[in-house]
Amino acid sequence: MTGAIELFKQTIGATIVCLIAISITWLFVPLQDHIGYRYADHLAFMIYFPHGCRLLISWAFGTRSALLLLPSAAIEEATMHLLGHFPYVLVIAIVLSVSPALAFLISASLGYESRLKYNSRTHWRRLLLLGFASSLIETVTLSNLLGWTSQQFLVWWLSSWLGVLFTLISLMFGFRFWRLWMTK
Amino acid sequence: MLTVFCIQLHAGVATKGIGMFPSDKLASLRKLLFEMEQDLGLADLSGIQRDVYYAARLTAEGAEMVRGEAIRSHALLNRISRPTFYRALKDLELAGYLSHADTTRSGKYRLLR
Repeated sequence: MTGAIELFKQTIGATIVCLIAISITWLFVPLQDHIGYRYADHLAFMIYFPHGCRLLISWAFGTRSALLLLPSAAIEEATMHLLGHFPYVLVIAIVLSVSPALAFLISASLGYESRLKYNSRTHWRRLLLLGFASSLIETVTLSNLLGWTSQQFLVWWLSSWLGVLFTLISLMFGFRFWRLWMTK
Repeated sequence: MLTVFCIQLHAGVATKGIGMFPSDKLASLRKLLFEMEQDLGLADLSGIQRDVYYAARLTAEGAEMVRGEAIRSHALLNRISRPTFYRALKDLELAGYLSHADTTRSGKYRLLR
């Protein structure tokens, strides 16, 4: 029972974090429109912050992150693609929530264990690489399922990885300012 | 008032974590981000912080946990006043080098790197 409650709390937490991330991503849409990469033309974000959050949650919670991330991915896709496309929404949500965990598992099977539970010394550069790999897994899978063009493939892949990079950079500066402010 | 609130928030986060993120996972995240800061040339430990950190490592002698008072009594820190020492400990905690043991009243710190 305690385990189920813990899982429930973690799922709520993961959902809140990822929904905040997608909200922040939407805030950047006017900026990307302004520099010429119109959201309406590509139906894609330039920087996709939720992927960064999903990667960090996978790093921290390992394989169970696939469960923790599913609700937020489903909500996000449902609100963007309308509930009428429910089966597609669910498939996309599953791919989004499983890809980061899969990247960590593949990395571990190749001898590069990076999940926090098994390796407390994971370097940030390795997380960036794993972000790159997980966005590739995600993009290849969705591209094959949904029949994307090569441009859609590249845009999705790049925006996911940029999401990882900018999430890490944002958190780094966030903690830095917090630390400097607390030690004033 | 805001400073007091933030100190209490930080203390709460350090002992219990935030929601889904227990304090050990948060500490590991902070450590990872601090390494990123250092690698990008943004973070430096001051001389005193370095001395306190080295004293902690030497006092621990390979153990994971070390008492604050034991660190304080190391020869490296003879010339550092008590308030300066505890301020440096707090800085190291914020930077992800140390974290309080499970109960802050134990006076023990866990070495994170």
